[in-house]
Amino acid sequence: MPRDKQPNQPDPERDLLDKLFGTPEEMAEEELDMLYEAIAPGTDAAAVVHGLAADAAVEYRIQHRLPPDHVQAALDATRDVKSLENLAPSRLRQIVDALTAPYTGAVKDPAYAYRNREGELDTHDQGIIDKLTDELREDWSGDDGEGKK
Amino acid sequence: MTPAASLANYVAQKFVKTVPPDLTALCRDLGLRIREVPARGFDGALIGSKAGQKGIVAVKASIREKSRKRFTIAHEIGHFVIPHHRNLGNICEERKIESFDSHLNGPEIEANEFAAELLLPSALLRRRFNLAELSLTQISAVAADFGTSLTATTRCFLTLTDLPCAMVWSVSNRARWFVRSDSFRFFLPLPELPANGSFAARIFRGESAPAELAPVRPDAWLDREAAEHVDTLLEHSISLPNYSAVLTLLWVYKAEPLPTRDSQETLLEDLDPEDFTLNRRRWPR
Repeated sequence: MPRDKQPNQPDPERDLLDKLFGTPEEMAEEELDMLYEAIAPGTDAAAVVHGLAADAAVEYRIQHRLPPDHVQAALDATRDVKSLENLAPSRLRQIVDALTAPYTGAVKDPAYAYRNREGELDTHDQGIIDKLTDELREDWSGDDGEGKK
Repeated sequence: MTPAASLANYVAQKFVKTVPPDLTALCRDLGLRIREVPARGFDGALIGSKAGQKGIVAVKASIREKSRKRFTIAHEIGHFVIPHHRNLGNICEERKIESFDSHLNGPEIEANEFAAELLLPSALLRRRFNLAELSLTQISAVAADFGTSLTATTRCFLTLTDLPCAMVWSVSNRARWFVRSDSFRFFLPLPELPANGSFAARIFRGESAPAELAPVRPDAWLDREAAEHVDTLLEHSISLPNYSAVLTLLWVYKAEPLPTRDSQETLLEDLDPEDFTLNRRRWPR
């Protein structure tokens, strides 16, 4: 990263790196989003963190110890929501707060286990869904949001 | 307010800047595209990524009413926002969207609750409605202003009012589902409805029905026991030919107090426990 800018000029990328390798807890949500996007585009950061915390919790339990508070807190904060019932308002707000910086890159693993309990889609409708799935796989970055570059 | 409705509220607070909400702008902010498609077997679908960061809302192009299209889009946005709905890859059938049938599966009910609150914010509607009067004229006016259907707008009224009233949705002369206000504490025997004496049944027979709320025999809608407690039941039914359906509004205008819990308990105490044993070894004398 070029560091030849004047010290008084704002440089978000330099600030980001300073925080990342200095004090990452100072990172704003937008900066965290930029970081996740750079490191692992298209992945669910919460799921990754949950996996790490779950692995750590298993290690503690193997040693017949309770997971420490910070591991438990990470598990609680990133646990998969399987039902909205009994969720605290603060958790509901977290769900909405997580809806930031929509991902526009290519999707490699579209969720395509569709549900149609009253029967299978006919070939006509299946063709529509397949076409939309192809569109979802495309990289949307750089277009106007409606598929036009 | 249900959790799904609360989510819609938070989404509106964060992303929505207009009333009624601009769903195209909301979708863009959420990373969703809207595509109108010539579907035959479904009204709406959400095709999303597993991480839930991007998706396509497909809506059936041939849906005639703009309000129904908007509800369908809002319903699919609900599936996208609610975390455990994302991987369903929902294909939503016509009868599931904008239906408030309590027999629908959980995700469909939640998506409908989300859509209803997103399009008809209860805080705003509480000030807009005259909650002391049930009238289709009033509900129609709100529906026109908010770009919503009569059923969704009526449901919103019912969740807010203290009046004992209900909405019944009947298709092909058979009541399919109903929604009631908290104070409407009467049993509606759906499989037997609409009964012959109701205005809804008249409409299905091709006869005329009153163009506004009018008294109807209570036992045309309520079971016999409940009907005995009701002095005046008002009904307004309208035909919705596109759906072969009739939408009915009911208002228990005047009624005797229903038996209270105390009196029911007194009744139970009068029963001889020897006669009503768990395994029913003896029958009542």
